[in-house]
Amino acid sequence: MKKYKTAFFVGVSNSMEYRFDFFMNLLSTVFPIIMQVFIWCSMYNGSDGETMYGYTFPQMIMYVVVAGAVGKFTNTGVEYMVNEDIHSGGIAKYLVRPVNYVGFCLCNIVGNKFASMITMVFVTLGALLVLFFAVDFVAAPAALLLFFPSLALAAVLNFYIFFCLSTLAFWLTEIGNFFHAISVVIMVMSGGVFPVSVFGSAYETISRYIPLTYTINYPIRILSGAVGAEEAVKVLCIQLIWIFILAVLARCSWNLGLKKYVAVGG
Amino acid sequence: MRGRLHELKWYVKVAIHFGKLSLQSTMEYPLDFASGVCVELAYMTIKLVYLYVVLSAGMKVGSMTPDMVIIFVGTYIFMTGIWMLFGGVNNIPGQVVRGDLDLLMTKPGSLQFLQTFGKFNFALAFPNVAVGTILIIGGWRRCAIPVTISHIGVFILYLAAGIVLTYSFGLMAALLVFWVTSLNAVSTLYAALWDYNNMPMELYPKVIKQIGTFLIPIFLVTNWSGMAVLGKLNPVQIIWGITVPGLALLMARTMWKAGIKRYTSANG
Repeated sequence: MKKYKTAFFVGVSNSMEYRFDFFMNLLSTVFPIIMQVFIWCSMYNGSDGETMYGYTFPQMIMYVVVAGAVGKFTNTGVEYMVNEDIHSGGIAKYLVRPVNYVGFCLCNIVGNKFASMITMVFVTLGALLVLFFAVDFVAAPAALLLFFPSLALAAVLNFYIFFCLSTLAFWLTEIGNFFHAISVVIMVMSGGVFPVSVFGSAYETISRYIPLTYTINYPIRILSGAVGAEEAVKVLCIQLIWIFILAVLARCSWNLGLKKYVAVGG
Repeated sequence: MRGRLHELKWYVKVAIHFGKLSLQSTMEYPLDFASGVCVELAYMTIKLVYLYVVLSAGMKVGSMTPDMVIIFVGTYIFMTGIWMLFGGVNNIPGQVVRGDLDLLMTKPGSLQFLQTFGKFNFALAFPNVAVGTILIIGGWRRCAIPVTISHIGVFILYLAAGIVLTYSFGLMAALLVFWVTSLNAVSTLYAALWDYNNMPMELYPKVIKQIGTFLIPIFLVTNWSGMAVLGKLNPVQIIWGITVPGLALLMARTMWKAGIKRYTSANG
């Protein structure tokens, strides 16, 4: 257990090493949010109805404000870490050590995200306070309580999605660009730019049966109150089921990839 | 005067040669080219999603109809392609950190020219320029803008001004590497600012419009050409749109000279 605890603390110190980058990245999240807020203001001003795509104006503003931060938080970057380890031969050292590579990566990334998680709590509470005064948005205490566990599960779920994808590096040599492309597509499909309902009812229905929307769209729906407390608990259960399925898949693809792995070096 | 003209001719010839070499090296690895195109197509998805929302909701952006918005989004995507094309500009931070400017310094010709026009990234530029052009033409037709020499001329004039601004702003952002150790945060911030052009500037309130026009004139890169053909530029904006690219180029040149003075290398 001690080794996984160490991996966690290494992650924490890594994330705080470049504090300027960390806060600048946080600031760069704000710019697209401002643009989206103006888009929705313009759209709701020109619309006759009270709701658009199933969201009231305060709910939609809350969605775009929180989506950027949630997207940043759930993005683990594990695919680049695994890709680097596979292609540089770095995983050889993990194979001879009494450590589970997947567990090690997970603990390291949870550690990396620890500082972000604390920041996220304050950013979310700050954003909710601003939204309360700006657009009269009120988050129910139950929604707030259920949001943070769903957010933590979303980060773990996202970790396993990308870990499964990263094992493709065992078979493909030049895969860095593929990760770039797929992460952008996944972000859009998860509801990281616009709510999933914007893409039409057909995709909204499909999205219930794939893990992607449980990483961004559903946690924010819980916070916005678009999902009731009972359904929110159901969402948490679905997230756990997907984590279990993907953890098994990650383990299988990892073992399969290791059979193909060859390392030569001293 | 004749000497200057001769020099300019030489630089144009060398730039074309660099372009040919970059294209050849891109085609050497077709898979790299394809993966670069895929990455840009993925990023373009986000840009097009914004347009999809505007078109599907029939949303007006200020006085702009959804059809007019197509021209602006097209110009923005086109200009993103131009930004990506300047591989030499975007490579500056890496080159400086690795000390790779040493070899270039020994070559004849302007160092700024050799560095910034020495490499073009066609893989990243191609999808953006292609889709951007299609959107501009599509939007132009849907808005029923007459295809006259004056309309095309004024559009190309401000498009060229936008290209000069893209080069100058990109260069200035990259040159910060001479003063800042890690450029990651600066690049992210610049990209975020650039993305404000994803929608016409009419979307934003007056304060942001003024900042984006006069303080950090990022809106001039993609808005002016569309506004010019739609007859939405006032006399001040017309003059400002022609003046700023020259000033920005001058600033970038000054910053380059100041940055190069700080360059030190212990390359072997």
